[in-house]
Amino acid sequence: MPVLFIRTLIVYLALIAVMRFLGKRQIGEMQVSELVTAFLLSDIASVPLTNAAVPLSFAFIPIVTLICMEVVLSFLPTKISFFKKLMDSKPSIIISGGKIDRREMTRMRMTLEDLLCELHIAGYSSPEELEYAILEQNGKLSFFAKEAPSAPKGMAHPVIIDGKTALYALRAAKKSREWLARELAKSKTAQKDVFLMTVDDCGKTKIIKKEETLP
Amino acid sequence: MKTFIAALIIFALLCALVFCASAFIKERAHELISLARALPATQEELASTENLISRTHELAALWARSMALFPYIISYDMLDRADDAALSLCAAAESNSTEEFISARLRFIDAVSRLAGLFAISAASIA
Repeated sequence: MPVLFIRTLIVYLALIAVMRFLGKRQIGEMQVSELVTAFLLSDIASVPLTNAAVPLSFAFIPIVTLICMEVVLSFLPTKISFFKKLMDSKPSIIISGGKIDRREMTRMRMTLEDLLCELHIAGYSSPEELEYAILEQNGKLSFFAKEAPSAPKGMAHPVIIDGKTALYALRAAKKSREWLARELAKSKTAQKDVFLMTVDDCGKTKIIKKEETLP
Repeated sequence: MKTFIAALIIFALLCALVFCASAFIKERAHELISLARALPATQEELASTENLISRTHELAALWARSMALFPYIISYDMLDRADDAALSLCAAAESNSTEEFISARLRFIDAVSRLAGLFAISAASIA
């Protein structure tokens, strides 16, 4: 028992020390390699804690190796462009000039629902309010609003997402399928051609056709 | 830059430590194996050996000295087989149990060889 207690203290203090060595970035700001290192560290550190027959060196050698490699590999791209190309990804423009780039979304494995979720979190109700949306290297989305926004009133409910009816949004907007069919008929658009259709709380609809998005 | 240099220094020290530990295990294992191989391997050799107990105790003492350092770098699970064989070897020598002695000697040599192989820097040990 005392051995496990002392071992836990040692491993904990050592982990704190090496994490300080790694830097001050938070989980949300971590690069992919840092995240992988963090996951590996937690796993490796637990081995000698749960098994007294395993020497502490079995944890310290991999931990110190990982941290050293992490520091070296995060420093090299700042000085050598070859490593920068190798290690860093580039930001992806998801909405460019007010148009949603579907190919980029597919490449980033991002669904329209994911994009809408991020928009809502950022305080936008619809993509039509945005000039640019950029998926940054750290995985966060940055939004740049249009200068003269044609902002919808209240919430813009996404009633059609990628050609499919979103019943939950239709219910939230207090609209029926018949109303949806009428609106589509009014705009002479087939549902399968709609990338995103929103309706705000005043009943104003906005249709983004698939042909209006970047392929 | 300071962190980068510190990381490089620590990494170099770590590499040195790993190589030293590996070299120590290899050297000590060879020493133990050569002592064990020098012990009688057959019933005829056992019958003609005079200082069997003292030679076995010499091997056991070297193993005990090794056991004071090995647990820092090797898990007890890996040491258990060789440790058991070393104890059996001593017990068999003391009790003149020839069959037990021959078996324990072989087990000890095999266990220490595997230990050395496991910590050697080679493709087989890495795989």
